Amino acid sequence: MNRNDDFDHTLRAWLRREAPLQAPDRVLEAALERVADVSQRRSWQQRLFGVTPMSSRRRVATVTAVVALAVLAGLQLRGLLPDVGESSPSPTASSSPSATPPAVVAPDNLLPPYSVASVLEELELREGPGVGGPVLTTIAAGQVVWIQGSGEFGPVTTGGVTYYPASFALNYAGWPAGVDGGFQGWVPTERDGVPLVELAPVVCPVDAPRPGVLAGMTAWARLTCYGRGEVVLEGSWVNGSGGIWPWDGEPAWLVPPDVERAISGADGQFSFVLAPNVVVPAGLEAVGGRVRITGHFDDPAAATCVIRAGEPIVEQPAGSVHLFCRERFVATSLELLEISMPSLSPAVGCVGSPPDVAVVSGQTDPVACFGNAPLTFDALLDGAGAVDCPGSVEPAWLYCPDDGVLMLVGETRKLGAPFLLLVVDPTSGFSLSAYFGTNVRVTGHFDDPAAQTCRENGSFPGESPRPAAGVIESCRVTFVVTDVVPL
Amino acid sequence: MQRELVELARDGDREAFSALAASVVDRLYATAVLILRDHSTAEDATQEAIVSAWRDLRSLRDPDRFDAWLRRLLVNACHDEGRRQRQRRPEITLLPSHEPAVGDSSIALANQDALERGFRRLTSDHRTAVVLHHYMGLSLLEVAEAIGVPLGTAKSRVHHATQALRAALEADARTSDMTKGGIA
Repeated sequence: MNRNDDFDHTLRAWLRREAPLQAPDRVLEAALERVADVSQRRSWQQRLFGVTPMSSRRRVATVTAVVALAVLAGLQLRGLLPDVGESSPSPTASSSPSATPPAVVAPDNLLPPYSVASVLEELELREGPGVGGPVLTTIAAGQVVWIQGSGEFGPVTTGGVTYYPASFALNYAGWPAGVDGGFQGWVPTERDGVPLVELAPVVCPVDAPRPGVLAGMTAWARLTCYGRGEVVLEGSWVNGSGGIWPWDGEPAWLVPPDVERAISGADGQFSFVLAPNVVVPAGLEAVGGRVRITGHFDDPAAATCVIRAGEPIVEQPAGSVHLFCRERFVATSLELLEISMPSLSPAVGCVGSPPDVAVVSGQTDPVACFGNAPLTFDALLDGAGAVDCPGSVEPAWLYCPDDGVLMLVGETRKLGAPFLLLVVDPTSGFSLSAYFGTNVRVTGHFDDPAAQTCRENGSFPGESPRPAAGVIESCRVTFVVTDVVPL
Repeated sequence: MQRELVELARDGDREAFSALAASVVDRLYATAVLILRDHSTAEDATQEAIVSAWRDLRSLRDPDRFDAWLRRLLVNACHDEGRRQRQRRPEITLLPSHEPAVGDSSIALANQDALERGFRRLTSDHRTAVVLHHYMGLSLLEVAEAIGVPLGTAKSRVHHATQALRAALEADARTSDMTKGGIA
């Protein structure tokens, strides 16, 4: 044994001596106590797809399918996915008064999916229906919640209390998904027959319906205002895909995941489904064009709608499911006005610079919106996150975004806060670790040139490496930091 | 077994996560104590790593890499707790723990003291590298992964830390020899 071996032996023996054999019981107890109050962050896959975790194999197939569809169609995926599929109605979009009475009224004792409800007394938003799950946040009287329709539907009654899945963001009347401090959970809506929330009144727009107007309304408001009346829309044709909806159901042409299309106007994009007898003109899906569609909400086929979802998978409450289907816009005719190459830039739904972390983290395809333009965020740099990586990837610094998690200023360790995974080019000569836990101004970009070299050489046991195109796409949507300064 | 627990916990099963946490907490705590050289701070870091693991478990793509992923979380937590601790009480110098010796009795008491002093003089980054490599038995590649640095940096840290500790031992030995010589 040489001197080095002697020293190493001594060092190891000393370390073993110094290491306690057991952690005090209070360590685990305290940790688990905190865990009981903490929700799991959605993974980047869930942020992308808005679904519960799926197997790696299925995820790979899904990523590939979605990316391929998006690339082929030149789509901005955001408008096709369940979390954001209802566009992003703004609080003012439906504020113009209407002279006509509502075409549809809410059924008694039912809160329609994608409707807004006012909170009548302080309520707790919980992770699940019932008082057993952790409280995500408390909602004061006077605030509004968004009744959800993606994933599971309400009402669910337990212990004399009725619950609905809902989204909430403090002092925010618009669509809370992706908003700073936004929560998704279950809200009590009625206790022992006493209502705890009330459906917010719908104010219909006076403007003629066009894609941007419809996109700015809640699904419930659209159904309420237009009922089964004929609606004619003109705009650019946007190819669709089945998206990744966390359920299956019938009839297939009306209930996602069947193909959903969209029509894009100057001020927004609106999704719809085609009635079974409508034929898409030849060439339209290949090259795009300007179209006129005629259709209606409240299709009679909604009465036969069935949706199965949840864990375990169960048939969802019929009343809400029927309303959800009635809220779908069904195009009964499609007229090709002009065939042309679709405009791919800028992508619909993009926001102007400078965006914030919440907006960017909600973007499914930031490259389509921002390219590789420099972006600057003022944010809290949190180093707590880590993403595992397959054994052999290159370049590792870009493929495995584990250099840190960028979070919004003021959102220190706030559960569910939007975050952005970061990487630093090792040739840049700086490290983010010195700034962890501090507020910083970060500059960087998506679509780093090195993304084109991304390759996965290893893979998970029993699985094939991801296709090169999918790996490159993953790298392109990774945010590469080029500069960081403390605030 | 662990893979099943990880998969269940990743799907939101808190009981599975509790079992998982119970199986790793001693190892996490021991590592944190060595890195931070303070039991109280190590408790905080261990707690933080466990809570982070639960919170971010859905970002773990391969359940078989749970251990490596958790090590990374622990190292991050130690780094954060160490920095907070320095901010909170910059004037306090922590005393060595005086627990009964349960390790290798072949280490001379003088060596123990010298190692203790040398170890405390190391930076947190260097201590982490030494603990991961020499206590946990990780390869240099695994050390690099756990710390989140390139392999070359991990090699460099382990090398320099080991050199510094060796120098501390040798300096102590020289002092001891001189003292003995002086008495003689």
